[in-house]
Amino acid sequence: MIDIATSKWAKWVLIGIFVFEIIFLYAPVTLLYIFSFNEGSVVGFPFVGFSLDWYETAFTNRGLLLSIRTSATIALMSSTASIVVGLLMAIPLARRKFKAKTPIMALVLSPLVVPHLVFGVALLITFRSVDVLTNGFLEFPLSLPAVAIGHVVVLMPLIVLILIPRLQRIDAHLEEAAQDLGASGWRTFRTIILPLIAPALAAAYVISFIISFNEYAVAVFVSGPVTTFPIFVLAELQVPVRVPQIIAISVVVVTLSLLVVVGAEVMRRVFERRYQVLSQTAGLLGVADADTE
Amino acid sequence: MTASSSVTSEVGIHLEGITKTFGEVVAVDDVDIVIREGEFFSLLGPSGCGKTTSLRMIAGFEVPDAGRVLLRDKDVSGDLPSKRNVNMVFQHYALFPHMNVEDNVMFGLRVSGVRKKERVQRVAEILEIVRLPGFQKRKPFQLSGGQQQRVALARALVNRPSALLLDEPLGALDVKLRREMQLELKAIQHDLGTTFVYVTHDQEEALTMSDRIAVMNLGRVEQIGTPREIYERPDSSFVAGFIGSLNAMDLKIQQRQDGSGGMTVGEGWVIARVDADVAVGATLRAAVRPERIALGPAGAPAHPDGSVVIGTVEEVIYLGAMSLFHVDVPGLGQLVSQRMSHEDESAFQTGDRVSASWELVHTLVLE
Repeated sequence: MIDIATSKWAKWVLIGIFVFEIIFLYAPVTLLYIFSFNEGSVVGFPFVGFSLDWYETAFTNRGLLLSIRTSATIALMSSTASIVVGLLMAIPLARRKFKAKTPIMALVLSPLVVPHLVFGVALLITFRSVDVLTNGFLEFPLSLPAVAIGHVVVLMPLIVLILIPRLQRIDAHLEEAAQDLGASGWRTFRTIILPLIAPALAAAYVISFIISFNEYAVAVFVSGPVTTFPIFVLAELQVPVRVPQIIAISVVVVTLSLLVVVGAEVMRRVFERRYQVLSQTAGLLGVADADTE
Repeated sequence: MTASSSVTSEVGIHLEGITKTFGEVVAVDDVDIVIREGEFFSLLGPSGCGKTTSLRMIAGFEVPDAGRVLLRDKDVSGDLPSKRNVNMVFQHYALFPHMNVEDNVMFGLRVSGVRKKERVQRVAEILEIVRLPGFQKRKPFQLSGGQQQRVALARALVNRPSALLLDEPLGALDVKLRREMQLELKAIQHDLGTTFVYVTHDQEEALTMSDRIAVMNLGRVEQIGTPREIYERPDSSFVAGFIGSLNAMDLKIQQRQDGSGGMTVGEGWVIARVDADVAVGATLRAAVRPERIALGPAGAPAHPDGSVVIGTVEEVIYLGAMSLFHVDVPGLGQLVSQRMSHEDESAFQTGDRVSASWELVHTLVLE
């Protein structure tokens, strides 16, 4: 096999692609930061003057703040629920041998290939049908819990994918050793498995929270009267004068997301240095584990 | 090595006709083993012989399809590993990577509810015994392979199990360290008087440490005996071939005397002790250990009641303390003789005509 990285021209092609990618990833975000401080109400050059007015407008926009609170609540609910369910799924998939493993794995991961829009419509139809069939008895409202349920489905395959490689790397003899020393199944899980996958759990939690917070396609169908942050942003963008404050709030959200991800990564490193469990793992938040296996 | 004084006549572990299959494969096939209390007992055999599966059935990680596992006369066949008073040392130690040495070792004590003060004290005692005093606060990754091995040993022994199960515990260590640990393990076993059940594929290791050995092959026990019995009186050609090296040959009985029979080979002959019912004309499988074959100049007087054959030295392999002589014997094939390098007969060189001889008792009749 020809190693692309050592061939001279190929190396420059790779560098070119890398630079291209970096520019297209960060240039728009950088522009967002710049224009959020632009005094003018038209988003674009020329830069009229420095101002924090848009931030002030944004943070006094009740609808906007409400939508952020709604999305944060949904993200909290859905990532908490999906981390629990995802862990319960990942453990047998990673550590036990059974016949139906492949089909079950396919079922768990299939939400990854179903377009969110399609899933959103399907979920809407399902909730409506339940409502009609039970004659409104369940009074299942299209609202916050409905979005959270939709997000659990979307998040779970991601969580399973993050947890499985980590779980697989735990030597099966560790569990046997704990049981041999008298520990029950629960005690083994609590004292051996849980501490060893804690970094991966934290990573999975942070990622799911951010994904849920930003999810639009599923939410827009089942949210009913509730307005989540992405729904609010998209609606506001229809009104040109409101665009600058949306940019300002977007900058805040992007900054917070970055801080959370970097914070989680730093914590993971500190944690793993203390345990020295996964010496060969680099990779942001341990997600890259999936590639190295 | 002689039997250690800790062996008693009581039954420690009894595997009673245990069988275990994995799908189509019969891993353990109707195995019956009685291990005495305080004994250093080895399960020896090539990979896939069922030795590890047998050990795991004692520990409780596998449940036998048929037969019973008795610990001190109590049937534990259906009990979970956590309910059995035996502890295991795993091949790759299986130390908990997120706990320090002290927490690793006291894991079992904590589970069984031993008070903190006693826990700390017992951990200190056992670390003394495995010669890791003061290592309490170290993490497993800070330890060498040999030290991790000792921690694994301490973690199992601190619970004072009725038997310690060891699954090729020295397999990951280099040769020199392995030799040291063999003697140390034996010493610890002797001092504590705990029953050790030791799984290994290394015959030298089994011979060095064991009071008794069960040689296993294809899920069955081929022979159980002391190292000396197994080495000097193998029951089958498998045992003879697996333990030590040997020169195998077909022995056609041409002449019979009371208790022995033999055949002529060129100007020499091979004789063996044979049962009364073996008639002239029968062919037996026989063998001689290389270290039993003495060499001399061709034509020199031989053992009156032993075997002697004449051949040509084809190759001399110098191994330091010992030398191997490959002797081609027409009508018999190649014999390997192992001599101490300082002995006179090691002066023979390639091409020399030699007589190879051995005593009657050293012709092993295999089947």
